[in-house]
Amino acid sequence: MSSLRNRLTLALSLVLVVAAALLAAGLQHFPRELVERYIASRLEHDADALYVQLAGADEASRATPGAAESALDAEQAAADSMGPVYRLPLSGHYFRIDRVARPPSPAHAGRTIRSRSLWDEDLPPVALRDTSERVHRQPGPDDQTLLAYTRRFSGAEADWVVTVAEDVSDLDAAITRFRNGLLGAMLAAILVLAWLQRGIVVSGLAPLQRAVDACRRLERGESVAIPNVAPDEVRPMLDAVNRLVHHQTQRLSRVRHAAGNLSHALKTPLTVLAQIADERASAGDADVAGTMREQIASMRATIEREMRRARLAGSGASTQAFAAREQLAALVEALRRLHAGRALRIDVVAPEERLPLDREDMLELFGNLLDNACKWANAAVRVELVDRGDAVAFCIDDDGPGVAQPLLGRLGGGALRADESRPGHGLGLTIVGDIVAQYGGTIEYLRSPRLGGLRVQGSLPLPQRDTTTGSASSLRRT
Amino acid sequence: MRVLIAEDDEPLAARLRERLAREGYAIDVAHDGVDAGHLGATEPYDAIVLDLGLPQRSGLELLADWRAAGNRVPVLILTARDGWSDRVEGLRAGADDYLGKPFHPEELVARLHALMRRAAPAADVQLRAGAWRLDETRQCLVHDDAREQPLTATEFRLLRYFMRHPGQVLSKSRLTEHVYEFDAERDSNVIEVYVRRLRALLGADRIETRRGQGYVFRADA
Repeated sequence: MSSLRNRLTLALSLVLVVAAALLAAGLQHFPRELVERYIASRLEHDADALYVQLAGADEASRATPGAAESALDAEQAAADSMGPVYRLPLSGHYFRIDRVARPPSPAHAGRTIRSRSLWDEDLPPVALRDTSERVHRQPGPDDQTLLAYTRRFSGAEADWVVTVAEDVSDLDAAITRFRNGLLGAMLAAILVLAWLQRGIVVSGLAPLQRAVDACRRLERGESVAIPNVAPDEVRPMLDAVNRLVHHQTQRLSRVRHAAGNLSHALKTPLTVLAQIADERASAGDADVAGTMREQIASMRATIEREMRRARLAGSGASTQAFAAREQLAALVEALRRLHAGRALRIDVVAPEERLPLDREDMLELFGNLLDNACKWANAAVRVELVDRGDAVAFCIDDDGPGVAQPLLGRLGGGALRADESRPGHGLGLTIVGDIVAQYGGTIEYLRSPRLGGLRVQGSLPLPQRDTTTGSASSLRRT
Repeated sequence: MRVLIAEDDEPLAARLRERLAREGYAIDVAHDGVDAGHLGATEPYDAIVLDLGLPQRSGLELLADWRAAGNRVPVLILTARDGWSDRVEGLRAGADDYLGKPFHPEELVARLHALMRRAAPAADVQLRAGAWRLDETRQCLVHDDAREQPLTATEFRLLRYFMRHPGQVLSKSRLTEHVYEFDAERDSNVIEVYVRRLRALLGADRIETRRGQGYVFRADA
């Protein structure tokens, strides 16, 4: 899982679920124990009271010598005096008292007294092993669930085992209802909390998304730096990116500047040499002049080509974007001046948008292509740029004589001058080829179906532009 | 026709001066931006060859200054920085043509010639006065009956300036300014001598005298 959002959400949800599980487990146990402890203490009081009554009746019966029968009766009567709930049949409150003589004597055999509420049912005798008291659950009459408290009292002559029981089925049901209600509410709370957490995570990570968007804009050349208004955690990263971009831009401009200086420094002497060659030629020294010109031409071609190559930014460089229509218009205006002697119609069809391509590279590309078209055209030149989303397609037509079929394939393949009669050095189309190759694009030369002269058409791939919105929406969806 | 060459490389500037002088242009040379800016702003040039990489002040700066001051002199930028973005920048700043180094001197001559021709009131490719045609390459007059009349350098310069500005009153000082270099010894009386020579060649009514103002050339007389 590579999404920070999803990872955080999952971790937070896990914590939430564990907390909820602990709470649920506690809910199973605590309310029931609380209620049982409360009831048990009440039962204990009743058991104490019963014993006091019985012990009193027993002592009285022993003081007045009489039959064992009357003792039992007296004891029963004493027990009955505990209150109406123990007399009402199946009231849910019961007791059973076993008198165990000590030592066992025939006169006072074990007697058992039951509450009248038991009606003709019975509470099974409870075995107290080593302990003197015990609380347990047991099934009771009429499908009741009883909570029973049993205690052994040691009297002077006998042990009394008193069991007091109370029906807790209603309470159990109430506890279950309470617990289910609480679990339901908890589930709802977990869902709400999970949703809130997701929101917090998303909004907490929003600065990251904004930073990513800003980086993309930078990549597309829509801005020259990332605005570093971001939380403390993100700002150092943006600063680093800005520094890197600044560094890169500076380096490119330094390289371009150095290339410019170097070519300036080399070309001016070359010009002088070329003029000396011309002078030698007019002085009749044609051999030397020819050799000199050849060497000068070769040096010039190398300088020109390598300098221009060094200056290419290429794709992926975060440089000034190419504002297609605006810059083509400026280029056409420049070409009109360069070809001012001729009435040329130059049509530009280009989208009004900033394409993520280096401005200088594109001026170089279209400058060479359009200049070539203008040189050969009779009256009309047309340039068309279409943004196809993943690439930009270009097409340049002229109404000149065109290029013979066998030469078409060789255009742009090297310093080939198809015609020596017009000014130029045959380097233009080579540079065009270099630029297109640098951008991983395509280019082809054919006869123009539109104007009848040469058509140059090709395409340059664009860096992906819709990934930002695409990935953002997919993140929002998950 | 007077041309300023603003080029810091002295050997190249010297050769250009020599080459263009052969074409019958009066040439001034400036080796740095300050000189070039001053000359361009004060002297009435017919064209300026401007190197962009001048010391002290860049060519683009000078060009922008001249244009801002309303100086419409044709400017040909001559530079080693011939990337298209530089060219677009230069042409937008007001240059009329752009030539990358190294260049063929013939191309420079041809372009400069075209620039001046287009900028002059008479932009015709062929300059004619009645039956005479001025051959600018060979610097002589050619008659329709194939007769040729050689011209001295100053005669050629003067006649070409007259023929490019027909119907305009041209003062002696203006003619001097456009025919001689900055540091040439100027004597406006010499102009009178040359005008007399040209009248003898082309006919007296070709060049009218406006007393106190100057001369008017009549191409269609």
